[in-house]
Amino acid sequence: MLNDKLILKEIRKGNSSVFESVFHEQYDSLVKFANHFLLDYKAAEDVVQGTFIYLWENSSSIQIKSSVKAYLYQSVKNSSLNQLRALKIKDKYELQYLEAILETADDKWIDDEELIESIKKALLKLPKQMYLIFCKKYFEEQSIKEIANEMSLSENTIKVQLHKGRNSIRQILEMATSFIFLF
Amino acid sequence: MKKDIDYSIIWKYFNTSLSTSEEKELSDWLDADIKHLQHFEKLKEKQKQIPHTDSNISNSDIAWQNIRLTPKHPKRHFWKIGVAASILLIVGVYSGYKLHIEKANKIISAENIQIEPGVKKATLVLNSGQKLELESKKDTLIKEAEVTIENSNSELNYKKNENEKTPKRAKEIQYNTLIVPRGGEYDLVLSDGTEVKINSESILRYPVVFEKGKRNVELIGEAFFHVKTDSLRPFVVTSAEHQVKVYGTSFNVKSYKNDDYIATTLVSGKVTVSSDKKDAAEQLLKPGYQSIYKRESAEFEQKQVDIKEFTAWKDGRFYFRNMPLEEITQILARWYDVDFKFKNKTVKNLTFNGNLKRYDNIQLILNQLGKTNEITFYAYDQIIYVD
Repeated sequence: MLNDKLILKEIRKGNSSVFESVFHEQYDSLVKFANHFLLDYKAAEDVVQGTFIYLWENSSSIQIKSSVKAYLYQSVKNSSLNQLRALKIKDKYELQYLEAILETADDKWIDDEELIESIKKALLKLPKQMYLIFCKKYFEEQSIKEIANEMSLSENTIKVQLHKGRNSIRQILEMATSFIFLF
Repeated sequence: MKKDIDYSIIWKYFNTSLSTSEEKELSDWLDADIKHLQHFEKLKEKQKQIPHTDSNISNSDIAWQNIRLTPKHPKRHFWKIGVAASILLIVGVYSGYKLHIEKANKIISAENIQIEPGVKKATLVLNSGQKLELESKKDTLIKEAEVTIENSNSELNYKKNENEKTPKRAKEIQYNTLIVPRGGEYDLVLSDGTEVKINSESILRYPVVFEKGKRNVELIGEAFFHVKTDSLRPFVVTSAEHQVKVYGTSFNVKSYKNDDYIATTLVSGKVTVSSDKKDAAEQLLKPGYQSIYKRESAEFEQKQVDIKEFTAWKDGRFYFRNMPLEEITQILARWYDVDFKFKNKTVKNLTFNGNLKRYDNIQLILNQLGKTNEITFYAYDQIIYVD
């Protein structure tokens, strides 16, 4: 696995095989991520493809702090929100962003400090009440029963699902949020 | 200008509760545009899914082909149909219009604006809340307790089940809703044999089987009704507080939410129109006449009209008679699912005559309108500008 600085450098040089490998690695999760905003797979794919094309064509002038991955997510988020503006929806508290990330994130994320940092920041922006419910929904086991009842599914099904979703990134965030709880 | 809604209100709707003012904000937003409602319905669907069970799998190999072909001049989905990249490169520079364009957005001159007309498509919402996407060449048959619903050749047909006797005890009425999006139209035959053609961006809600003594349906948008005669059961079309009551006849109702009027045009037979906001007796309408109900003042007006102008759409035509350009663009916007903006406000009121084909590409329509040389069209970022 190439490190981020190197990836960026290669893309800027026009190394299309590095670009292609980033594309294949990130495409699926980015589409899922965009689809969380747009609820339209076709539109989500368009946004993600557009983002990659833009990156390829403007790599030399784009400001990327450290991680290409963080840049991709940030920019897919922005394009998606732009499209939602046509539906007159805004996302003041970055709630959609948080939901989208927690539903697409996987273990590949852990080493990306920039992304983790941006999620933590977004979590802290939530008003108190919303924050509590949000954490309950995403980080606490106790809701399994409630979710199961609501959706008339067996608790086991949900447990399996939640377990799959309980990857390390959630654990990191859970730790971060319980830390916030103390204050 | 309607306000934007913050996603947190939608989120609260699903996860906690809303204050009265938030509820109002949400319902205003939903009422503002049928697209908002459609998006909200999708959000609702999503709530039922469990995170991480996304069944759609995108394929990065296919996607890669898409962008790899021409890495320097990427292919984009313009107008939903593939406009050849070479056409995109013919960029018209308009006098006085400063070009400041990102790579993705190019100004497209009138002769290159290609938009396919609307097609037969709709969403059927069953009484249970279950939703079915209706498209051409996708025939379906649904068996319900009282009716069989047949969807074939882009026509939705309700047939009362033979063995089902009208029950003695009053049953809860089962409703279905047909949602026709922008860029769509759909044909429907109700359980009493009444035929309805529903135009773009319209919603019709109706009982799957009509109860005794009345046949009531609700409409937002535009539809043409050919009502099966039944002198015992009047047929009533309700749009907000406005009602059209008939026993058997053909007529057109246009009741789009953003219009400040509701127009009922009678082709044959006899109808009465009335409003809940007005105590006065029902107004009788004669064939060849149109009733205009002004939403704000709750007043009715009647005038003799050329009915072709208001019903041509059902026969696949656009028929404009001294119609202001603004009104024409609204009709085109719904059918071609595209937005228009007036760069030059004064041309809004120019009037046009024409008899054009509704199933033509928009380019032919714009050509005709542009012939007068008083207006030009160009497209930028999925919006057609009128200058």
